[in-house]
Amino acid sequence: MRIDYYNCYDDSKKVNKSPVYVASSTCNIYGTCNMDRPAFIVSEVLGNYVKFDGTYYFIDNKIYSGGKWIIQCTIDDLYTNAAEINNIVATAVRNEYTVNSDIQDNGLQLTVRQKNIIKDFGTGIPYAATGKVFLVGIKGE
Amino acid sequence: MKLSNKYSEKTVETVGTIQYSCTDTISNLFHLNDRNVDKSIVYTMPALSECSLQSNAYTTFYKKDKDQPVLVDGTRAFHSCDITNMKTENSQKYVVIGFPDRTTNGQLYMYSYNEDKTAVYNGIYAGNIKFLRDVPVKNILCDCWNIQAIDVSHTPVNYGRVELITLSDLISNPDKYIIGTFQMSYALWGGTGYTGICKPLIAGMNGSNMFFAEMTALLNEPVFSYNHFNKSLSGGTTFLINFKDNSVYGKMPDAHIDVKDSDFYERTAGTHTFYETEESDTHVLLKTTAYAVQNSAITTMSTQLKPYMRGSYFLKMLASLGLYFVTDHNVAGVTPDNLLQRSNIALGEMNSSFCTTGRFIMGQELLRSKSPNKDGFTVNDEFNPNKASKDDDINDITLNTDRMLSSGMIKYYAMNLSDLNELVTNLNTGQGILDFKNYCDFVVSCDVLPFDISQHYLVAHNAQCKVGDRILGNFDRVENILHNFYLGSYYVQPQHGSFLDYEPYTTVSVHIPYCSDVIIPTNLAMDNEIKIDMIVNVVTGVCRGVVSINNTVYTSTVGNISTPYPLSIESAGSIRAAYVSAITTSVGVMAAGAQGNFVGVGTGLLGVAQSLTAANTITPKVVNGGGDSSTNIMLNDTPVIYMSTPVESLPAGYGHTYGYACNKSDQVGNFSGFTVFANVDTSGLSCDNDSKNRIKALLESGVYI
Repeated sequence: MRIDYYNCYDDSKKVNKSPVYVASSTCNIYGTCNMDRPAFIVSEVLGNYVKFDGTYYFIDNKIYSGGKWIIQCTIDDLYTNAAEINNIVATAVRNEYTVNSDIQDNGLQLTVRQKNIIKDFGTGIPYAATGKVFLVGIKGE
Repeated sequence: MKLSNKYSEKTVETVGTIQYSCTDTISNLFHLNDRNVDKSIVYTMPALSECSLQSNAYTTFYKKDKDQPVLVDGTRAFHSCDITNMKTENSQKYVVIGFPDRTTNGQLYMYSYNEDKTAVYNGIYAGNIKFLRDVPVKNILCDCWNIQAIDVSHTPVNYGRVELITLSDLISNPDKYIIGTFQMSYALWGGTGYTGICKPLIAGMNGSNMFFAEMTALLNEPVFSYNHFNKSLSGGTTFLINFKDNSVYGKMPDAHIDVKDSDFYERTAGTHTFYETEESDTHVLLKTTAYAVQNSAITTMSTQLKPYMRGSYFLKMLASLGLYFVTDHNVAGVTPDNLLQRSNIALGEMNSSFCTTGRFIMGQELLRSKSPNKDGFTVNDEFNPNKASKDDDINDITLNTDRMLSSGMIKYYAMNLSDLNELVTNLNTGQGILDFKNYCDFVVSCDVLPFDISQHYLVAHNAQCKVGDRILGNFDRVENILHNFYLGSYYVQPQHGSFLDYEPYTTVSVHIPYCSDVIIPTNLAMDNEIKIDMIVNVVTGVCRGVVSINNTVYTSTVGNISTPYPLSIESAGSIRAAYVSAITTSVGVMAAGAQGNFVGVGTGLLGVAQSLTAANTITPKVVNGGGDSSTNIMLNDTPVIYMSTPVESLPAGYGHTYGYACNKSDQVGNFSGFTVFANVDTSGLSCDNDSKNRIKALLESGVYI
């Protein structure tokens, strides 16, 4: 069996990772294992990320035993299925770049301070202290 | 965006002997300028590809209407931009273009069409700025700016004392400058006298403009209410400066009008009151539709009439265009991400298509300047969406009150202190056949108002005031009761651009002088214009503060604006202390009168009132206003808005690690960055069930796309 080594420094929770291919080598599956968390016996470890049988795995641990390496892996569900995941139509409730600022964001921390804005309208009543400011009512003609 | 019907069709308005015509250009102008459609921009890949062919570049993305491309110089190339980023959304590619440091021919757009489509101008007239606005050019990285500005301490006379400043200068000191022309360029403007002044200086670069516009051109839009085909203003013609109604920004420019030889005059006043000072500019701009410029002062528009914008407004205007401002001329590697850091562009500025909204550029000071105007242009289309005119404006309220006053037995006179002296003198002297009657009994009320009554109400000047056989003098007789005072408008700027601008986080109230505070729901106030009018019944002293939002009356509150003047010496003592000093000076006059025939008037007044009530439907005003009106006069005469809004704590990397509230459905692959999905349906995945469950959990807890 063959295994492909990559270097992948993306966050494990990134869907569309950018692993860089390093090399391929032979391997054997170590014991009986769940292929979601397999272990492989290899002669050398050439990367931090592997592809085996069309599935991508994170290398969690490397154990040296009897001149061989045992690498314990965990499946990368996201990148393995990235093409299909990208086509899923889903509702994003939070996103780094797409902002609907009208939605109440409960994650936002507010301080106890309030910004107070006090502005006058600048126009107002045409004030006059003098002039014909008296209104006199007179019964007459 | 709602367009005014007024400008959607050809209209002709005659004022006096002068006819102002409005073309239908405006409807074409706005054809593509629907800012509600973010993707109307659209530097699409095909568009850029066509542009790169250097042939009819602009017709690709600017058509004034469906069938008529704009007249452009087809030889102009659109070859000097680089695509710095792109995004595919719904099979449509959007790109961010940048202008790198190149040594030649940097202009995005230099030739333009004249507003009447009859000629092509070289970067001078309205075309350039119109281009920016009509086609909401966005995502342009403006790396180097030259702005011709004038220090406000100087008198703007044509181009005297012009300085070339950078955008950074302007941002740092927006109130220091007024802007006559501006240009965005890579390097020097090649004009005579400007060589070497460009900041920052980029060695080896030839002058080349990306945009160049005079403010004259911006203000003299074809939406002008004068016939721009006769722009030369032949003899006898007057044209109307009408910034507010004409500004597509929905808000009149905070412009400075240099009318060297003056001749701004009030259009409807009949008498020509000329304004020449800085104060007059403010006055003119407050009532922009009411003023005209006399042609005699205008030899040619380019030399005699120079509108200038204040720096702060200029920045707002540019921000509203949705440009990225990069003050650092080195734009290599610019991406939307680092633009956020380098240009202080808030994250919310960009939507998923990388288009800017112009709302947050450079921080709170440059929140977009668009606001509703009197023609129903409303930013917040959720409110008052169908309002197309100001027909139901408060100013349209009319009442026929003349007859009521002229037929009443009580006449009301607007007097100054001198008039009062004359009245008192005439009351206290002479004898007549009515000597059995105390003449002071005929004075039924005297009130003080905080404005000159004769200036605001219809009056019969120097009307004879006669009681019985005695002429008490000639005074201004008040002929109508009601007058509406426009107390001002205030555009309520969103402070956050988010839900924080609304209740319960933010509260808005307005204090109306002589009335009370009015709490305005933030969903109505925010991003809208609050206008306060005050209807004053000069006879009763009742004032009604009217709150309008986007020119629609929202609510009103009642107060009292007049202060009863003491008619007897007893009441004078108790009320006198409340008067302001200016009014107090007159107390002595009336007190002197009260020592004579005025004594006892107060006790008989009620009887007079009752008899008059029976004889006439007008109830004489014995006392009005109470104590509040006399003390309110000491307070602010302008409405005051109080807004309280929270201070948010937004840590760096909030979006990257936590994400912003989004609530948008799309294919997962069309999102980017940190994303949290809700209730993901993984049934379409071909993996095993355990994997599906894990994928679902990951997507719902947050992943990076």
